[in-house]
Amino acid sequence: MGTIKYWVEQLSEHKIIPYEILYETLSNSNDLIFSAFPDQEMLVLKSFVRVIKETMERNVNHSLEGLPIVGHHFSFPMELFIGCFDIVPICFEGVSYLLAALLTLGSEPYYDIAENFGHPYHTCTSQKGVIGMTLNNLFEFDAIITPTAPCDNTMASYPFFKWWNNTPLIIGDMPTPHDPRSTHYFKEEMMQMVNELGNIIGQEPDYENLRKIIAHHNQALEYQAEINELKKAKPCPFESLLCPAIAGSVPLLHGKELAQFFKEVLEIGKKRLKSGKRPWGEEKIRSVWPYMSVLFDIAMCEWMDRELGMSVLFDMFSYSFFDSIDIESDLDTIFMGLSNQALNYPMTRQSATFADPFINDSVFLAKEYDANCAIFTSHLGCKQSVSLIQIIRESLREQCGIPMLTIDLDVGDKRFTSAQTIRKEIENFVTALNL
Amino acid sequence: MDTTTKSSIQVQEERAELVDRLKKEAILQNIGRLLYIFMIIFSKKEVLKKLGKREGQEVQMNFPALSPPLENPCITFILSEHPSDPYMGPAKNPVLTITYNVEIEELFTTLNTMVTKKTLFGLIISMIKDLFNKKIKTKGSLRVSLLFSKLFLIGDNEMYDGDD
Repeated sequence: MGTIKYWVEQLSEHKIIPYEILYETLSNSNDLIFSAFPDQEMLVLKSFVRVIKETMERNVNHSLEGLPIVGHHFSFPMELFIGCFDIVPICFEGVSYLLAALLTLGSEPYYDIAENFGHPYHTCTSQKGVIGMTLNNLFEFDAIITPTAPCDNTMASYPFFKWWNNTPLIIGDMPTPHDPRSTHYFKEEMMQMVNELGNIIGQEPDYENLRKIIAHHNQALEYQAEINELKKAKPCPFESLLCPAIAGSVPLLHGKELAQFFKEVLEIGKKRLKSGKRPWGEEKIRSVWPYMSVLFDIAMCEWMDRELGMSVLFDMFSYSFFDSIDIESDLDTIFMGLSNQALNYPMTRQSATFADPFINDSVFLAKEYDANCAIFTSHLGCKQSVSLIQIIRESLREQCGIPMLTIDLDVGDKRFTSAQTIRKEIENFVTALNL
Repeated sequence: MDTTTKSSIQVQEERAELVDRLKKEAILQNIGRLLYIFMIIFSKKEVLKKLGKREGQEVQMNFPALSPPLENPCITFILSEHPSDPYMGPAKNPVLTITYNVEIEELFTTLNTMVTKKTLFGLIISMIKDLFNKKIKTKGSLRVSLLFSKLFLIGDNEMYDGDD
């Protein structure tokens, strides 16, 4: 028994090894990106890498200090738990896909470990990566938090962790309809989740700190709204890389850090708009991506900007369809606001309820930002979104008069559809557009 | 891991070794990914076309500083007009092998010097300097060496215009 105790103690020094790896990788990338690119180039990437690196460093240090490690789903306002408790938040989907973006093999070895263990090949790689990492003892969670949204993958994959090593799993039951009654119901669920987590990690919720972090998040939402306004300009003052950068920042950065990133991006956009300088060249095509960007090849965004003159204005994560929260109000109202955000979080809004929001949001973004075309990345793991492709295509054609390309792939695993094949499909599509 | 039959020291050592190995693997993979990104974004079309004539040939890059714990720390690029991520591991029949004899801390600085040169002349001077200092060692075709180096001459990309 003694040796097991020692093993656990030693394991505790390295409870979040993938975050340690990410920190190391981001530090190296940061050095090379900052020194290799001229001052005026790749500004969004520079800002993203720097802010995420600092966040990883803080998380690694906090884990060494012994703060509880709490794994969580990306599509959820984690400000609630980070505000209430001193914890190290680990975003499952963020780890898998950030590694996919930064490393040649990405999370592929861990997908394989999970599949060899018996996890189905057609589930979402976003969670499969962390399943593989956990099977390899790279994580040691004190608790895990998830809503029953946005998809079957989430609901089928998260219980694995409870089953595998009895990690406490806190699940918020999210109703299928998203209406005021559901907001009230999920508010109660969120309150229950806070109590459960507090009991597990032995901490009392700090609601004053929650108000502070929500205030920062409100600020981030304001910046994001301004960024989105700037995207209406022609040409768009932001590089396409902003979309995957936001997809990475929303689940991994919280409160002050997210506000800082969006503030820097906003400044970049304002300066470019004022100077009229767009380092990567002319904008010929404006595209919206109703689903996700290709995360295993972030160079693709730069390639589209520079080679095709195609701007990616939005993917599913770059527009927040929810309001900020009044921090002066009572706790009940704050929780109602958080519940409303949870029900409308990117992907949960589009995938965890009936199909209308997904279709309407796609049409809204294409119309509002005057897109010439849409590209739908048909992700292998995301069955509920794939079922809507034809309806979204017809809606965009009928209501906006634009075509939509569909590419079958796995956004986090280059072995399904290679980057070269994806580029070829986009190239052919652009040729056919004849703009 | 059979924890009941191992001493705490053994377990501690194994854990530390695992972390070290994973970090070194990540450095290797990160170098491969960053070089691929540079190639995709900044390589000139005429250089890529020339590469197309050597489709399928392999260029191996060695990083001995990552060994141990990695047994064979190298990545291999397959030359093509349409570049792809390098694969981890040695080439079957490399036309060119480049070895970076620098400490881990210097790896990214050395790579930075390689990618930011504005002219081939500047790059050759820098390479000669590195060869003389034994920081870099090359083996194989000189033509491929020049062609491969030109791939990363991102310093002469138009984005550097106006940069000091």
